[in-house]
Amino acid sequence: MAKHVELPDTNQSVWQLSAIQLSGWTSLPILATSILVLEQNSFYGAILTIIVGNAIAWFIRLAIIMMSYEKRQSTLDIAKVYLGNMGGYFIGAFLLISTLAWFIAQTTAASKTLTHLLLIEENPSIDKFTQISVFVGIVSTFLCMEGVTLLKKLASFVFPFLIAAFIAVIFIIPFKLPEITTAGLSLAGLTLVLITNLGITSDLPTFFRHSKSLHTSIKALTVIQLVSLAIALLGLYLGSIITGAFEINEALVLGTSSEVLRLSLIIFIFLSVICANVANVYSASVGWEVIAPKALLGRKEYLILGLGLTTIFILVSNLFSIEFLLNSSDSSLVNLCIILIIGYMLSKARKSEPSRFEQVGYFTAWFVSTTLNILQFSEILPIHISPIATSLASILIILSLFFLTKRCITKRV
Amino acid sequence: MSGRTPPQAQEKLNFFELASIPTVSLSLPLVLVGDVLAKKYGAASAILSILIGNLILWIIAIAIISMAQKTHLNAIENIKGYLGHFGTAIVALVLILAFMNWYALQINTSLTTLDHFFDFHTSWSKDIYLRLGASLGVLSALFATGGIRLFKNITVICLPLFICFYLYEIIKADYSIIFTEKWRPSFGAVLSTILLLLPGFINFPTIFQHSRSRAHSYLGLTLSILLISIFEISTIWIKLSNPHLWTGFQLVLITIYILMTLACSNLLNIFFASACWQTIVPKFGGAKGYAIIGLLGTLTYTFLQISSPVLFFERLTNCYMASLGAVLLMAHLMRITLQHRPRPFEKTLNLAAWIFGCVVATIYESRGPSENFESLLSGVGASVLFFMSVVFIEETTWAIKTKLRIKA
Repeated sequence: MAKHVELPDTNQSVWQLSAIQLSGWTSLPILATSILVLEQNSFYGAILTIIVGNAIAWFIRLAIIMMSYEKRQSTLDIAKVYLGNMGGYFIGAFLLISTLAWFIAQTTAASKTLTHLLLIEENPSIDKFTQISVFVGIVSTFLCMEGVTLLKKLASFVFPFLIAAFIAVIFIIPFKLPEITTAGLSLAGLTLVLITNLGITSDLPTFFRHSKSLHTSIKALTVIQLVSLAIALLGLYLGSIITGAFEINEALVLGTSSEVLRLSLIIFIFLSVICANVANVYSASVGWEVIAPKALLGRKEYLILGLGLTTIFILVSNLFSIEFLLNSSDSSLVNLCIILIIGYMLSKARKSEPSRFEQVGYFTAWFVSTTLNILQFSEILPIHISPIATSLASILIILSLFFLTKRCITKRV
Repeated sequence: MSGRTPPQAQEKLNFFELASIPTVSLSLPLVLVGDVLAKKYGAASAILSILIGNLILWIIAIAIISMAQKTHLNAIENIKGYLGHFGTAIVALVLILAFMNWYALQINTSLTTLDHFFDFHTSWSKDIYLRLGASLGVLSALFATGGIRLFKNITVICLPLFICFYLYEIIKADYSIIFTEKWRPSFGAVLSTILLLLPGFINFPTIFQHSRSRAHSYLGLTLSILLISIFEISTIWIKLSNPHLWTGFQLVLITIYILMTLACSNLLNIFFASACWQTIVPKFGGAKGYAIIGLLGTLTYTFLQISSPVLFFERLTNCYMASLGAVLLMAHLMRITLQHRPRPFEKTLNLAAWIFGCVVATIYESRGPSENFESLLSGVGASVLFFMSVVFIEETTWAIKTKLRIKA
């Protein structure tokens, strides 16, 4: 990794590691997952699903952290170990695309809601949505400039306000328990919880490489998982105000005529989108390090990424749906996570690093599963088969074929 | 200046590079000047006035560059030598606000000019102006992270292209001027020519501090003034005000021209504002500082969508800059002339003269937009009068004191 700049800030505490992750996650799309699970399951079934989903996520995350702690590797460094250099370039590109898609999706959603919640009288010829989205984009860029150092300070400062605003919203919103349906306890919606969690999990090494020690990392991971479980469970109560995957029913919020609710929502949405954007840019910076020349690394990379993303966002926000881009980039990260876990377990069992042949196998499995998912999202392949099931099946088949071939070759030799 | 990079560590520019930066960056206001002046005062008068106005600007620029040449100071450090710490802080603050204002105004001007050709305001959604403007603002901030080196490279590439563009447009122009009126300069046209670029010229030391030598500075300045004059005069033939005469290819050229001049003029604004920021926050600067200024400029554009306060502030800033220019020139002249006695209150008096001019200009401007540059001339006049009165009193008092001491 000759091109990499020296890793700064390698002494982060449990609080700092947890604050960064939780501030970055506690945003509308993540909270909306709880609502989507509730749509597929009974109320108590949804609670069970969320608990089981989070327990599985904790184990997977622990494995991912164990993979990276020794050499303080980022997601991309680990991807290179298992998928080879070529795989690294692909993952780097997908990290950048994923960041762009999330930056646009989250900032657009937050700006739309803030446009309605901020009751400022303006000249009708001025487009308030564009003004607010430019403002949110620029504030995010300001805070991206120092990379993880500023992200740490920002998250540690913002997280208590975020939680306070979230609790205030939960207490004030009108809530009624859903009617008891005939559906019994089931784990319907578990894949949804896992997909959301796995997409984020593959990014963990990039942030946890700044941890003080492995002990700190594990403690932080447990704190994160417990708090996010509580947030996800409380998120079930947001069903009355969250309308789509990313949107808040502003009419209902304004209809309650509660100024505290309006103010809490404004604080919550604004702070969460800023933290999510800054964390996203930091996560994408490892992708940038692979493709950018050495002169554009270091502090400059955060400037370029932040300014570049903001420019693209201003131009394209709210013009067309980026759902396809979001789904595709997310599925690539979920597939990466599955492959890294399988690769790690196999390497541990055989007590050796993956060979060149195995790297080709892992990369092929990732490439094929991601391509199949993309074809599903573009409706060329049937979408009614769950994308994660397609991924798992294709990864297992390809890896089995590769390992069988390898065994045959070794036996012959 | 603890936060200042030593001049020897900075980029050293030759005369062509020094000429390219202001010529390309100040091109945006030039696109209409010749046409507008010709319509108002007649073509002959416009040409003569542009030449005289630019000659006066050249003299002002020579004086301002000379002030900072020896020590390689930027514009603000140069002003500090004449107005002191407190005065410089006020000037820096006014300039920062002015640069933010100009940043927004440049974006607005270029979009209005482009809209003149493409009429996207009526055919597209209402937010298109804001989206395009904001993204152009952020893009300028992105370019600024490349520092003076990238800025120099862009302008060096753009200048020959601009010359070719003007030559092509003049050759293609289907318009000839019949000089019926007399070749007589107009005071208003001369003043308009000067005022259009004066705020930029006062900040020239920030660019010319990077000069290799005095000769390179003067040659660069002369080349720049010559090209600016030619560009301004060319617009009499290139009828930008009549978009119906333009072909598709010409529209592509003018779009590229406007977008490049916008990027460069905002880069210049960022570098000028950065020098001001360093007075208040010495460590401010570098890629991060430039990006912050660019983003602040974009925010100004995004939220100051009502043009009247922006235009009022622009007029006011022009008055302040003109008064500052007059005070700096007089102060420089006095420093050369009055070497026979110490002047302990020199900086305070210079500052007082400038503030007096600003107050007078503000009073005139607050009465409403003035015809014939009334507020600007009043401001400059007040500063000059104050300055001369003070020097008169100082000099006479010194003479009487010396005479009495000799007698005693």
